[in-house]
Amino acid sequence: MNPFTVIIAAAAGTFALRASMLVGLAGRQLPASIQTRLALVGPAALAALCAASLGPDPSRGIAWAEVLAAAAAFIAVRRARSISHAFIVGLPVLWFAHAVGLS
Amino acid sequence: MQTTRAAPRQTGSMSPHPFAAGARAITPLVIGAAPYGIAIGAASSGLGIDRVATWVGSWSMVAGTAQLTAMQLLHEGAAPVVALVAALVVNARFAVYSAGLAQWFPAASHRQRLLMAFPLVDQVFMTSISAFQRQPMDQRQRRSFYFGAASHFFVVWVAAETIGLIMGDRLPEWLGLHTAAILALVGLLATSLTSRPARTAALASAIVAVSGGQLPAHSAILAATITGIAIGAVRRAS
Repeated sequence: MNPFTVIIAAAAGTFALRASMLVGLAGRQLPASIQTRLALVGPAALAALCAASLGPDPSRGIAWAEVLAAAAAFIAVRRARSISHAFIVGLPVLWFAHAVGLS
Repeated sequence: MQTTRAAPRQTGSMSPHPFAAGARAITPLVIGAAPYGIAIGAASSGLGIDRVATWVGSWSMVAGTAQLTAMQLLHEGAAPVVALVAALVVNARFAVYSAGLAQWFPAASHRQRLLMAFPLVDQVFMTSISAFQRQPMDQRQRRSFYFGAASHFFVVWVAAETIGLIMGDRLPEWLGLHTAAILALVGLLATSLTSRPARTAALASAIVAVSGGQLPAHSAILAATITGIAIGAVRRAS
């Protein structure tokens, strides 16, 4: 199996994962309890992605500059209620943190 | 066809052009994903993996982290099947997204469902679900909104990875291209914490994701998401 085959197989498998419930649940009404849980997919998945990206890395530890930038971005978006503030505030904080020597 | 759907916090009204509204709504996340796509393309290029394979992966997988994980493992000499399984574990959360999206399209045909599945990525899912919960739309409008968001994301993502592949290691690291995508997700997270169960789910998920960082092939993300949903649901019930 060469890299090209791995990519094609991964793409096919990923598509199957994406289509699984969309197709599998066709014509079925989910119980209210499940619908309630599905409403929490967004916050839970986002938090997992953010935490996994910002958490300790075995090779370099915690990237404090990124953590600081993310914290600033979070606060800015909560206050302004606009996602673009994540960049307006977060990126300058990241650059400043790198400039003062934070990893 | 279902016309409206009971959903929390339905406020405002839908634009007469839901496709354009979807494309507009995802713009902040596209701004975050584009530098990340460039960084993924550049990183893959630096690994010395076949560039055509990398480029094909950009539009066939539409999943940067999984793609880079597979490439990295192949570069480190792992068996191809290990790289394949790792990529699928990283992408397992898309099955959960798939279930979340399905409830908004009860009358969609199989063909439409398969079409919707192809571009189902974090940003498209989050943008669409957030809009569906806020604004009353019929199913046709929701579908149009979804494809507007997905089209915008897809075109920019493939273009960004292509640029990254071409530029390779000539990109300065201080720009923090990887971080831009994280900032976009942090911004989206900040806007999604609209209820106590949502905040509980996010907190529990974050704790599990950090503490499970040593789990193989980024499987902590899926474990954290499922745990967060379960704990958030308990919080809602109590």
